[in-house]
Amino acid sequence: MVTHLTPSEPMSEGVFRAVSDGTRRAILDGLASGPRTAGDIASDFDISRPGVSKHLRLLSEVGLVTVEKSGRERRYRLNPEPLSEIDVWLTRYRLMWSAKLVGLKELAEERAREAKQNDAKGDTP
Amino acid sequence: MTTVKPIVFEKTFELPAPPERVFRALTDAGELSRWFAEHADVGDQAGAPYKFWGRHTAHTLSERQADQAITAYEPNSSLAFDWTWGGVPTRVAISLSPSGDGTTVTVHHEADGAIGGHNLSEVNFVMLDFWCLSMGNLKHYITSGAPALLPDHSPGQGDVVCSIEIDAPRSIVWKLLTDPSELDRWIGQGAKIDLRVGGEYSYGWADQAEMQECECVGPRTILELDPERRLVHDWDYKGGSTHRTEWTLDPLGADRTRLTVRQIGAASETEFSGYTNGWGKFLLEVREIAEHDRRA
Repeated sequence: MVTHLTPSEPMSEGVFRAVSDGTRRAILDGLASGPRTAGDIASDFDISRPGVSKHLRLLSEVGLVTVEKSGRERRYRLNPEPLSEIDVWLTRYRLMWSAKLVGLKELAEERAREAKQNDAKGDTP
Repeated sequence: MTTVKPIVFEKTFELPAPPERVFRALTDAGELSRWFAEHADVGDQAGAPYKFWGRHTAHTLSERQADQAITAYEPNSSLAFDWTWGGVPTRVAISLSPSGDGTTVTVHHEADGAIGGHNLSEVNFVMLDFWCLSMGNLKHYITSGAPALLPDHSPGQGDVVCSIEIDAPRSIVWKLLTDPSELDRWIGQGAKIDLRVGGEYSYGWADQAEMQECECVGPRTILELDPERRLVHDWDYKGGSTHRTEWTLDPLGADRTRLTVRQIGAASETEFSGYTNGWGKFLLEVREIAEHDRRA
């Protein structure tokens, strides 16, 4: 009988992995104030152009970034919607650990009381 | 159109106080805001509101999301309310019956879908954790005047951090984290532990036949070990990605311990020079900007 199940990764597990990389977070931060070209972003953080493009491709695959074409320019725009899935995952874990800690506390305190009783019995002649 | 069967959860809890005391804690807004939710606004009959919300309530952070309403109200005996939880209609029925000097509380909760966008297969466990936490807090509140642990579900946090004070020395708390038979009493199902860095640390969940379908495995290996002070293990998914769980034990006097667990969602955080925003701060900032854009 299963009495517990851990939270599985978010449906879009790629989002999670995408933002767990510091460089990609830097790129998303760079887009926070408005859509920009890859070259713009690269100059911000001293990352190579091909490096930025590689990260932007991954970010658009998971939906965190959308591409707009304006003439010959490709601009990237931040889409923060997928980040709300991380909150769901975090909530699930926070709820699980909170519940487990309360159970652990109860058991630990029971053990502590037993230990005290055993000590007391030991002192009784 | 197919009708979806509701997901049904039911569990009983024993509380060390008579039904009158328990009923009051469940139906007085002042009491509820001390042990159950950050905010509460409740009536005392069918049709009246039974609103609770705030940062301690998963998926019901704002008052706007709090639409709970009483459907049955029998003083010292039963309380039922409807609750749209995480976008899904749910129905709660709580009944109380005297049991010696205490009360047997039966919680019956039905949900018409996947609460908060969790996987459908997890809904039962979401409800299990929610009610075990809530009833554990109620028990602690009744006996000591305060809840045991109220989580903070405010959005924008990077990792999960939960912390609790325990009236037991570190040696006992450490034993509950490192002895397989003790682990089985609060989280394991056939736990296996080889207590050394690199050694196996398993809750035994994956071995359960029913778990073969599930994505998750739980911990596998010990990464750091500092007896009675710190334990770090990984946290695995069948999908292949690995996270980390850090346990720290801080003494609060000889017979009291603060236990903290931190679930880190990004095991391979590569820090990038020139950009020092941590994960949590990043999420908060991006979210603030997105909110601002939406309102503009």
